Amino acid sequence: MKKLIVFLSLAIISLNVFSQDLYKVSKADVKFTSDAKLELIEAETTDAQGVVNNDENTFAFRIPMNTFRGFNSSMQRTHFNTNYLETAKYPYTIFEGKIIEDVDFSKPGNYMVRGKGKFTCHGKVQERIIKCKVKSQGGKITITSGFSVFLEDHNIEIPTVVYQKIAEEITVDLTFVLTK
Amino acid sequence: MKKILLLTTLVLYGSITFSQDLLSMLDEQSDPPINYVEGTFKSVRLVNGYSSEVAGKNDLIFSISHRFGPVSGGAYEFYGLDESTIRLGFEYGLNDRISLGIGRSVFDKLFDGFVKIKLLRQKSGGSSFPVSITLMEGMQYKSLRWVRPELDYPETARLSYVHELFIARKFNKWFSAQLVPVIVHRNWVTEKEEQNIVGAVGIGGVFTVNKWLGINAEYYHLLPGHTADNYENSLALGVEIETGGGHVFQIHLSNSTGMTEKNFIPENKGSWLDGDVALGFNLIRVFNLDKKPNKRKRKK
Repeated sequence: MKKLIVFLSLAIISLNVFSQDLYKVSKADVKFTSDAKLELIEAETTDAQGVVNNDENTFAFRIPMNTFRGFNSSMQRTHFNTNYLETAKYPYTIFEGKIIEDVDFSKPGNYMVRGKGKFTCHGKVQERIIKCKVKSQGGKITITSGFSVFLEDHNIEIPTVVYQKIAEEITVDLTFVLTK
Repeated sequence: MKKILLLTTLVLYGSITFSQDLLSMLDEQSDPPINYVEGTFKSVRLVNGYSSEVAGKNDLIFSISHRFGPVSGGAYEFYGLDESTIRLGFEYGLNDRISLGIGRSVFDKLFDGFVKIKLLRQKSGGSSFPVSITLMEGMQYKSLRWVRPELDYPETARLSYVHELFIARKFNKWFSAQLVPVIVHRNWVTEKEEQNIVGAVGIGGVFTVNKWLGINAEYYHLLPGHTADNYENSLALGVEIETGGGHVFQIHLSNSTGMTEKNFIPENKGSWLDGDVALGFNLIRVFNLDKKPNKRKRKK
């Protein structure tokens, strides 16, 4: 009997794992823009990881912050990593939570969805709802979204000397391609 | 009883799978990121000597280094402020690892040129390496006229060379240090007993007070020999301020007023104990020469 229980339980675990309808990020493009009075700064990364659970309508995405390239100089990138985002201490910006709408991405089509959950950047967590456009082709979904991140919300301090060169509000544009 | 057990197991396993965190799933599936340590030092220069940092790609670094005279000059020399010597320098980053530099010092009417190569980078995370290693190869040309030109010195007598290895580690956000083996080679020395080749080991570090302010210390120890017996080891203490906009200001006290290795390592005569301490500063400005499409600096 005990053996049976173990067997059944194992079977159920494996069943559960295999039956989960997961989409994983296979291609990503994340760009941020700081449009300040005196300077426009842009940086981009293609290194993002993420997974959407279509059964449970949950998701988790994260971006390794030290992979951003672009900026106006390598010094700016160094400041981004060492002084502002402190990427050695806080390596990822993370967004995880649930999709508010009850959608089934396995059915091809275009969806507007809202992700609700914890947005962690620079170690500071914000409860956020982020709107996304999702295009499903069955086995492959493409998520595009644009939103803002306020430096103040995440304890990112800007010295007064560069105050007019770095925007208070950073806009983020991203595209994730996820496959099963 | 057994049915209950079964049920509990089922519920338990069910809930485990249900709560399986998507984030931990990502952790399992992806390699931990490699974190290359950046900003070991705020600038390419520590005090009198260089640091393990190199100019970034397409960065042009302009530095104005200034040394007053020793305080021991007394009231007549206005405690050193009457005297001053200067070096102007440029450094350019060919890429993020290799940079070229040139400079001109008032003292000896010296031209200097060097190449700095970041050989290895400190990293942590997915793969790790404890230190950054930068090689510097430099050459100096003393253009000051000979006191007795009729002696017909060879042109090569004006040249000297420096070989340095900067082994640096950023221990944490508050402290970085470097160990610097140096060899200075002078083609021409003034006396027979003097060494053409002088070895030294430097140590230097920065204590970061906050993101924009640091306290620097730098010491070069001459290896035993004629030079070590007759000259002083260079010790400098300073403060550096970074503005965030590409400027680094370094203000310091040092027993050497030379700004190239040849001057402050084997030819330094000032002693801290005798009050031969001079005030100096380095003004370092980084210009980026990139012409990327996303660079659209505007002024309104």
